[in-house]
Amino acid sequence: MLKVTNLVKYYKRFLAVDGLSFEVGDGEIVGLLGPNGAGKTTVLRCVTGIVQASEGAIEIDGIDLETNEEEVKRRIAFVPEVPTPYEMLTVWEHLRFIAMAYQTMDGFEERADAMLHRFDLDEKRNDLVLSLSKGMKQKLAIACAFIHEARVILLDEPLIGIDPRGVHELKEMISEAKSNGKAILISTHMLDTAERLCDRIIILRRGTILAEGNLAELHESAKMGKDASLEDVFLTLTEEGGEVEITPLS
Amino acid sequence: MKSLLYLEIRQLINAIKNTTRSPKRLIPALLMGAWVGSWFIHGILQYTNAPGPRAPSLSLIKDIPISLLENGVFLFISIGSMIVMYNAFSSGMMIFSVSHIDFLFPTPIKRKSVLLMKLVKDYLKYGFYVAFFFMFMGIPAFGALNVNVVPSGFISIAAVTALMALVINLSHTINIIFTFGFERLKQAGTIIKVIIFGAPASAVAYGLYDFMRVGNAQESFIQAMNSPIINFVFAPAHWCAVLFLAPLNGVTKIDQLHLALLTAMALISFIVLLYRRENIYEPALGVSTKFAERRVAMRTGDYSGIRVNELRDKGATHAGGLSIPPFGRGAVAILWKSLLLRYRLSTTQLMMMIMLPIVLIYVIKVSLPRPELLSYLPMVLLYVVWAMSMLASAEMRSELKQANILKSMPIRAWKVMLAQAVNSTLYLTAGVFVFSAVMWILVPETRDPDPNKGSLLLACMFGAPFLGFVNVSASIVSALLYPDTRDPAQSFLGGMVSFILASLALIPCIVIVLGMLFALRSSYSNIAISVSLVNLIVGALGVALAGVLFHRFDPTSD
Repeated sequence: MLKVTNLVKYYKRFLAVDGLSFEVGDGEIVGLLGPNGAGKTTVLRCVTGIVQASEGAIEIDGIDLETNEEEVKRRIAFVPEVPTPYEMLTVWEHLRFIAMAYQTMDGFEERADAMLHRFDLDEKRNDLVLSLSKGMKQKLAIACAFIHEARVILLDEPLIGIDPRGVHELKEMISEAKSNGKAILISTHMLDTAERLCDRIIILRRGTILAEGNLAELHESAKMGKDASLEDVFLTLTEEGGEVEITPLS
Repeated sequence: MKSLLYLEIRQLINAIKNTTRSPKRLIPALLMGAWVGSWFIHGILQYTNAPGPRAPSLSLIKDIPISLLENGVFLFISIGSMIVMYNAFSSGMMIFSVSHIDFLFPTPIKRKSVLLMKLVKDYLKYGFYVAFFFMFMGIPAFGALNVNVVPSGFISIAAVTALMALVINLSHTINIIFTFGFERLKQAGTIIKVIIFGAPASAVAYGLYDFMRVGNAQESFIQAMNSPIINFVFAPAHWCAVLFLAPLNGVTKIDQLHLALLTAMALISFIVLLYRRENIYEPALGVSTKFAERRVAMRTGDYSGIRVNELRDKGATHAGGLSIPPFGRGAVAILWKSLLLRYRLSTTQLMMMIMLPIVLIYVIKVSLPRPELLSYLPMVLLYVVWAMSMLASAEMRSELKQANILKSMPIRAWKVMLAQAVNSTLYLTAGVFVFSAVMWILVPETRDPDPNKGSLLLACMFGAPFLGFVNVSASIVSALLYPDTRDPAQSFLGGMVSFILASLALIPCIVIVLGMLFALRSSYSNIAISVSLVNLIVGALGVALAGVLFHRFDPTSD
């Protein structure tokens, strides 16, 4: 389980995240939505330990990131937005490097073979990453995230640039991960996907939580009928100066 | 650590394999290797005292007193160190690749291991750069003084590398501390900045005082560089300057002690940096992304991209200044857009367009050994245009980033290329006019027309833009032939082709000029008109060819 408590992040004087608290339970998919600059990527970077939280605590399965960073990172898989894999490694070497870095080499060959097959990258196995298209690089990044047995999966705009088959495979993998009891946090602008895929949605604006809950709870927050789509809810809630009742944090 | 070594080794092996597999990459690599190798052999020849090439221009160094040389080196080193340290307060130098950010930072590999690997790689890189610089500049310079650089040259390399490591370690540490303690340490930062800039300011004051008292500029400079405050604050840079000139001065016991101290300081600063508790990934994040964008722009010769990045860093949001009002339809509108963008992105270049002619013409005027040649100075315009027009290929590559937009417009390809060529030619023409005006003002010899042949200045002023048009179209063709300069091979070949095409375009002009000047004894104005007509035709053919290439150009990057 991922637990974020009172997360604050300053970049020098700029406040990017302001006292954010949320949880992603085991076997739960949570969508992180918000307009550009809302702080979604900063939250994911704080959770992965790429940037240091100014205040607050981040825990995975009760282990604190601040005091036990390596142990927490071992439990996380992260797919960055527009990933840039190492161009001078082959596809296979890239997967192998990630497995080595996470110290999960047992059964690597089988897992890597299966992953390449799922994403139609079998034929590219020995090709340098520099020869891959953008979509293939995205698929490789996803394969890297799933090559080690993470407890928490963080995905930053994972569906951009992938072909329909790739999108289908990724959705399947996310569902499988959910059934295997993994906590999944997806940052996305694709509202229809979020609506269908996520158990719960967190809507951010200017580093704070604007609303949180399942679709029914969001309808309530936005004072909209139950027929309203997530897109309608999102547009209403994120409208500047709109009268919005902030949902109490769970 | 094992996985990091795997990553580095695999990347190195694959890079070598990738180079050797393609002749397009292998040939430039071999040429570069041969070039470096020839310098290395040159160094060896010098060591064995065998006859080898010497750099005659560097023999000027002979006349400079060693103390002045030493203080000059010190000044250069200390200014460099000062700039690096000052910048560390706002922007870091801990540059990682974007791949590291995406795939290495989130892994459970210890930050200390990542930092250790990064620093060791950096030190090796600095050592290599210093050795390389020493081979290119140091060996010929010391050779001009008949001084052998072996073995004391190694001391020079070691000293500069140690100082570089020290300065970089300190700047990393400052940047990490101030990234996380921005508000808390604001006051301390101000004090350090005052010390960094106060010391040189005190030296300037000290030097000025000495100059007013004694009146000897050289002596006052040396006094300023050796003022007590400078000696204290920049002591490591001072030791480094002395050690750098070890081949000249020899190495005393004190110098050996200073080298040991420099190494120890570099080592201590390395350990301090390695054991910082803050998250080093965070300060590296912004600067690495920015650096990656800039590197791509540099590699592709996309100077507009570099300028856009600079403007973004400065926080520019409004156009500001003068503007070019919209005009034209179709291809003419493209011309307007190109003129406007170039004007907006090249303010420095435009300033240079005014400053450069003044400096260049003044230097030529005072240094020309035979003043009677000054009346032929307008011919410089032709050389300037020829050299500057080759920059058009970089502009074209930059424009090709928008090829998707341009190709989807209902405008014929040759017209798009014509707009591009005219844009570059118009800027060249403006430069030619500024140059001509400066020449007319500063060099009276260019004003008087030849009684038989007329005004050379006017003829060159009229002919140079047409020559520019030909060369610009040649450069555009080369950019279209080798559009992807992210590939070093394409970059190398693109540059070569641009040079060859621009030189080939000169041949008809040279033939006509020589023929008309010596066989027909025509006036300058007749020659200029004839050559310009030929250039216009050749340039138009170049534009037509560029149009065909642009029509076939595939902008798909995925």
